[in-house]
Parts: sequence; C-alpha cells; structure tokens
Amino acid sequence: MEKKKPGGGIRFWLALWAAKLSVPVLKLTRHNGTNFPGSVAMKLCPDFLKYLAMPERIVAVTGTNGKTTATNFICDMLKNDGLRVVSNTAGSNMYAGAATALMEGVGIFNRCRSDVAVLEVDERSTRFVFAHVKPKYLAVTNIARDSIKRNAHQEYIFDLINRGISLTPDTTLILNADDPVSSFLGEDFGGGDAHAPNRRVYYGMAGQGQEAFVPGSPDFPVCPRCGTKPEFTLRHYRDIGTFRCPGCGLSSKPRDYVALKLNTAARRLTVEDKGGEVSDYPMLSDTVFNAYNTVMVIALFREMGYSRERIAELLGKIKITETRFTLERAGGLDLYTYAAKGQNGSAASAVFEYLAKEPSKKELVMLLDEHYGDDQRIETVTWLYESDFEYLVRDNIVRIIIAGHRYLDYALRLRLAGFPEDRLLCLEDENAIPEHVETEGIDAIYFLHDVYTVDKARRLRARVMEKLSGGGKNEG
Amino acid sequence: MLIELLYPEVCNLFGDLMNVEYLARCADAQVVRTGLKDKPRFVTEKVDLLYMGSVTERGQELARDALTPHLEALKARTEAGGVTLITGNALEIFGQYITDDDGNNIPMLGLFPTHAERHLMNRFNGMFLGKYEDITVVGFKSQFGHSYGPVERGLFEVTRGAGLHPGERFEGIRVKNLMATYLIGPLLILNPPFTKRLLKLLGQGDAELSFEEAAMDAYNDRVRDFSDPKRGFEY
Repeated sequence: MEKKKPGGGIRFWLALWAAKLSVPVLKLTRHNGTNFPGSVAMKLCPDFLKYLAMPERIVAVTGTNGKTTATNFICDMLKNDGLRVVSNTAGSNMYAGAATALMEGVGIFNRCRSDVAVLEVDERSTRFVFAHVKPKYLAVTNIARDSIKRNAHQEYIFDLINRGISLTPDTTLILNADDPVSSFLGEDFGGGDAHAPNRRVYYGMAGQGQEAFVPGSPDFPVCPRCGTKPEFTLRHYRDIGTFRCPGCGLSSKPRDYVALKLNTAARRLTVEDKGGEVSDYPMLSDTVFNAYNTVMVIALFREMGYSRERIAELLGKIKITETRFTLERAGGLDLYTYAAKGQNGSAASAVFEYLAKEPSKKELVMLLDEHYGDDQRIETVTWLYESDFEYLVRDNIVRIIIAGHRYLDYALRLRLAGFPEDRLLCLEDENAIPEHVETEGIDAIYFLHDVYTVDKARRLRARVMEKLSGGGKNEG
Repeated sequence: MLIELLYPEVCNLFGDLMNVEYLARCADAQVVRTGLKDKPRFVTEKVDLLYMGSVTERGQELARDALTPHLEALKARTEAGGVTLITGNALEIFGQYITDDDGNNIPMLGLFPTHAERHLMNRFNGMFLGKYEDITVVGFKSQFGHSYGPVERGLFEVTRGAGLHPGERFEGIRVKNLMATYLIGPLLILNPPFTKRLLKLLGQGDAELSFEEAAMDAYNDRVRDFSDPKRGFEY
C-alpha cells in the first residue's frame, strides 16, 4: 500500500527524472552506492521527499552503535520474506541517502513499487528526514560516546533525536530499556521538547551472570532528571544494564521483550514476549552487543505482526555483513577482520571488552583511525583517552601490533594503560605488519579496523595468510 | 600533593580527566573527586591543584550551581595564587554569561570578563599550535561556542588555529595561577614540556613524567605535523 502525496509541480518531476537518470549513469561509471541521485533531487527540489511516494510501512533505525548491522538484519529478513524492500544500506544514512533509497522505490511516474522501506538514519539527520518521512517504526539501538567532531556528546544527540521524534508522533518507538540514555527518548529532560505522544515498546536483556567491566568514561554518568550519580544493579557492557537514581528514584524502563538467556556456544537466544510467551531464536554472533541488535529486531518484527516461528526462521537465514566481521583460517589460526570504529570510545571499548573476555589467546593488529588521504578529515586523538585500552591488559591478549601515522599516540596510550612493553610492537609503516606477526602461542589474530580501513585490514590479512601458508603450516 | 577534581560526574568529556590521572602518576599525588552535591575540599583546606574538564551544556549549569556558594572561596584562592586548571568549555562557566541559540543570556560565575556565544548547530573543530611562555603547545578543539571580551592575559599565544575566538591572538585565559583553555582532552599527556612547567609551579621541581620518552616522541611528532603549513587546521 502506498502513501498518496500531493503533486510537487514541475520542480519535483524534474528532480525525480534527473535522479532516476543519474542511477544508470552512475552504474556505468561504477559509482553506484552513492547519494548522488538523492543530492541531485534535493538540489532541484528541496522538498523532494514531501512529494515522493513512499510505502505505507517505513522502518527507521538510529542510534550510536549497531544501527548499520541492525538495518542490514531487518532488510535481509524482509527480503527473505518475499517483500520488495528499498533501503540505504549501500549508501549514506544522511538525508540524501534516505532520498536516494526512497527514490529508487518509485517508478518514473512516482508510483511506489516497494512494500517496505528500511532506512538507517544518522542521529543528527533524524530532524531533517522525519520532516517528510514518517516511519511506522523507529528502532533505536543506543546513545553512547561517539565521534566528538560530529556528535559532541550523548546529551546533544538525545536532544537531536527527540527533535526528530517530535515531528512524527504516530511512529512507534522501539527502545532499548537497558540503555539509560536512549530509553528516555520522547521524554523531556530540559532539551526543550515536551513529552512526545509516541507509543513506545522496550526491549532488553536479563542478567546473564557475567560481570561487565566498568567504563572509564561512562555514557550515563548522571541522572538526567536530578543530576545524581546513578547506581547500577546490572551491567551487560558499558552502561547498558539496569539502574536506579538514588536521588529521585528514576529507574530503567520495564522491558516488553526480554532476552532471558544467551547461549553463546550454541548461538541461541531465548526471548520472552510481553505476553509471557518464551521462544528460542538464532544468535548471529557471540557478542552481547549483537545480541541486543537481535532482540531489537525480534521486538520490531513482533510489533509488525510476525509470528515467533517465522522470525526465528528469517533470523536463521541471515549473517552479519562482511564489512563488520569476517573469518579465514590459515596456519591453524583463526584470522578475523573485526570492525572496532576509531574516533568512537564507546564502540572501541565494547569491542575491547569482548576481546578481553573471549578466551582464545590472540594477537591484535590495530588499524583504527588512520590517515584517510585527506587531512581535513582527521579528527582528534582525544578518543584514545575515552576508550578503555586498560581492558586489553589480559593474559589472553598476547601481543598488540600498532602501525600507521598515529603509532606514537597508540604506543603512549597502551603504555599508560599498563600493556606490557615486551608484548607491544609499534610500527610507522603498516605494510611491515605481516613480517612482524608472530604465531607462537596464539589461537587467533584479530585485524581491528575502522569503517574506512576494512579493505586495508583484508589486504594485510591476505598477506599474513600467504606468509603462514608459505611457512609450511597446514591450512585450517 | 593534593589534586581536587571538580564535578567529574558531569565534567568528564573528551578524555579530559586523564589529565588528572597523568599528573597524579607523575607527582605521586592524591586525587579527591568532588561531586556536584559535595562541599569542595578547597573551601576548607589547602588544595594544590583544582581541576575542571569539558562538560555538556546542561552540565555547565549544574557545575555553576554547585560552585556558586563557594565563589568567594574560589576568588580568595585565586587571589592567593592557588593553581587551577580548566579545560574545554568548562572555561565558559567562569565567564560572565553564555548566550544560547535563542539569544538568552545564561548567567555564569563572572570570574572572567568574557562571555561565550553558543551555536549548537555550528560545532567548531580544529587543531591548535601556540606558545606558553617559551614552550610550544599543541592541542585540539571541539566546541559549540567561542568566548569574547577584554582579556588582559591569555594562557597561550596563538601560532596557528583559533584563539578564544577565531582571529583572537590569545587562547585561553590566565588570572594569576588560574589557567583556563578551550583545548580539550589529554592536554597534559600531549604536552610534556607544559606539564613539567606546571609541575614546577606546583612545587614538584623537575619531576620525571610517566612514560616521558614516549610522550616526548608523540609530542615532537605532533609539533612537526602541526607546524607543516600544508596541514589543514580546521575540519
């Protein structure tokens, strides 16, 4: 079913056709996956999205960490369910990216050809996108420390998303009850927007008996209502857990969908619905942060009317996108590429906690936050001091290799964290990494990469695999 | 040596708090963390260094409210030459007022003659290269506002990058030994020569810094990098 929109006049039609025409041109020139069509449309008709036909069902996903992974999950599941899905998974999560995706879902006469749109929306873009795009559901992963250049701090992002929410009161919010920041979206703690009337659904996770590391730089340091330091009775990772404010009594939201048990060995997740029904679902990785993504997706699909059995079936068919995680074996070792996001202290720390707790003996190759070939894009090194490198000081982190432009900063940070000098190698030339990789006494090598360094990580891993194979060891 | 860290539950952005941890390691200092609801230690006893770091916008008002009852004690401490270091937008708390996006003037402590102008949709990000006395200082800025007004003495002299506001030759403000700068993050870790000078001011003599050689290597590399005229400085 399609939402009918009023006509936008000649500017809209020119914008739509120019955007449509740009798609094959970009494909021919191998520039597909960009926001160019949406940007062109917005230039020609700034209100382009106001007039563009859209499917009745639009799902938006936002939040600091995990939104790309969750959007991919949702998209793949809906496609596997036989629906015609448009999404910006291959493009940008800003306004032009949403416009590009939605434009691809209509014909040249602005007739909607898709059943559902799934949009990853950058937190700062929610207030622009939701001016004209009214999602039926908005799923929020979390709000945590992020790139300070763009996102400043959690309170700022909370207020911006709230502004976006205020534009779309009929949207159902799927919120993380265990995130003390984003779970209060739609409520006013001084950011200027009154309580939003949106319907809200909360997901979360029961205690799993594992103690989380306490973050050096917390995401939820004070109660937003009274300024008192909150008390946590449960932590899954960072400040994701259950809290109560001793000052005013503000506490975590009750969960409608709760993961009761994570069986990481069997990769199964037991979830209880708000009706009290309990079901088993596949888990897509052994990380607690991806378990949260999975519970969020289950809550969303339940709200969309899917049966528990069908959700389990659809989850069983998908896998984590290769830009986040890949595994190869060589020389008897597991060789991972693993996204850890530079410039983002919360994401890096969550990955460090996972690596510290995952028991295999491992060597880490860090390729985070490097020169991207454009000086203007280099941000501060302050995030190194918001990230918990201290978590890596464990016996199972056998060795760390740091290379690249900022190797001196990393070297200092890791030393200050207490990582032993004799297990740390800092190189300026990252191309020299493969010759320095040592395989003695380890089970795995993790190549930790940023969003922009995934290809570099794979190239270096390929060279290490070549070295391991050439060294006469058996291919795993 | 006693260091008092003011309001770490809100003044905790951008890794600023590592400055205190680093100083404590270098000088074997005791650190007291004073919360918003606590009475500051400097009011009743000698504190060698008072520190406050980067903060959210709502946190600025919480910190102002917490410090207001102790303003006279803070003034007396400053007048007596007490050493205080303020980093990031905590500087704005010590000015006259902050003008927000709607044109409202939010009153602040009034220790500095400056006021800040905040634009939440126009974040300023940049690098900084400057001088503290004869020492080269490097750093980073990421802020929603700049400060304006008559400043008798800046903390740093600008070589490259923005001062208290773009075009201003001073970065930061210094009143006796109260030192405030918009520079964020691990300022003292990034600048070992400045840290050594600060430790001297705190009566620690020529204290050796924690991992001084590694810190100097990173510092020298950054000074070279930031001195390169081809390098972009705002982003």
